[in-house]
Amino acid sequence: MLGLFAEVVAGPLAGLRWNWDLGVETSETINGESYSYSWSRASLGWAVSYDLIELFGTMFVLDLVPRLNLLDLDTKLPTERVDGTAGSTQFVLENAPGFGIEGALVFATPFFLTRGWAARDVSGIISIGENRSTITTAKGGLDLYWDLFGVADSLDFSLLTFAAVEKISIERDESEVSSELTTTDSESGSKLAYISAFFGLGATLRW
Amino acid sequence: MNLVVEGRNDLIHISIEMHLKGKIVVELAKVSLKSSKDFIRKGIHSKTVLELITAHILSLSPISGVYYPDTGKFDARRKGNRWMPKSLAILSLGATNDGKLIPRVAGALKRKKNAIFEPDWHRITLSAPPLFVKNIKGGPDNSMAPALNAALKPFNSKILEEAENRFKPRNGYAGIR
Repeated sequence: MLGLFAEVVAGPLAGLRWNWDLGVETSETINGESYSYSWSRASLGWAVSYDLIELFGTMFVLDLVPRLNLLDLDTKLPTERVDGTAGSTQFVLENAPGFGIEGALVFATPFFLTRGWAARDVSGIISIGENRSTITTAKGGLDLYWDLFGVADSLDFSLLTFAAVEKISIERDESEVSSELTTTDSESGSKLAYISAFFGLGATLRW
Repeated sequence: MNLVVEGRNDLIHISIEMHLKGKIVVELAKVSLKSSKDFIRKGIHSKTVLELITAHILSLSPISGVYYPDTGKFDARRKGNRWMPKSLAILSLGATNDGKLIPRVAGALKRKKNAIFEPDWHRITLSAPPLFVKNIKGGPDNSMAPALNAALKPFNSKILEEAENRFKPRNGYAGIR
């Protein structure tokens, strides 16, 4: 997964959040049948912050971020039909509007800024065009920002390390498809299920 | 005898200046505001830095106070501390030629922006009465508090000198993961 993000923490636009996440297309052929999975989601939110408690000289801040998003999804996955037979189903969402909310606990240590977060997003509830699928994601993770060095007079470079867990559920308004399907990173025949966990690195510029 | 307060880089120096056959300066205290690690190690976290300074001043001067028009709470993402005072005035007693003691401003410091980890203070002259003066100690029975407040009125704000600003609070961030 690849993501771009920006956050304004001071000034008249303090609280503005922007994210763009991209699930890079992956494809695989199983028993002569090609399956693929790709998605992207852009979101724009506004953080409302609450000071919880001050410990060790730092304030623990709770951020609540309601947000709007646009989701693109193009995936063909093995599914289990209502009659129990295996098949494949194409799920396509184009610029499907949705909404979500994220909660995060933010606090600083002498070495890094810590952000533990959880989020839930729903897209595709409003049917536009050919969109007939609803996708729900629930995820949570931990971000650590390590300040490394100044890039310019008013820019700092930070290393981001993160870990997250995510569950994606796809629901399609079509009678021959089971009501809810869960994606998976491993094939197991007719019905697939998994919880995705990942970790990685990032880079941040603070201005 | 004057109580003198000066900001030099990240230290606030508090001293007594006497004129007895020449100028004699006795340094009483130095308050370091160098880094957050210092704060934590010394048990002086951000919220109490101001109180520490105040305690020093109050213990040294019969009349004193701290002026901080703008305080706030800590904001980890800005790396700035909204609790820190942006400016402070140290009030003291001055003696007139006929021996009367009058309240006077011994020194006024202004912090550049919201620097906390390595703040720089520079001296200012007050040109307007402070909006808020807290921790006023107007003598044993506080009877000199009105005179103290009156003494603040004629000053005009003007930055006399500026120190290098080595820290800038951040306004946001963008990244890739």
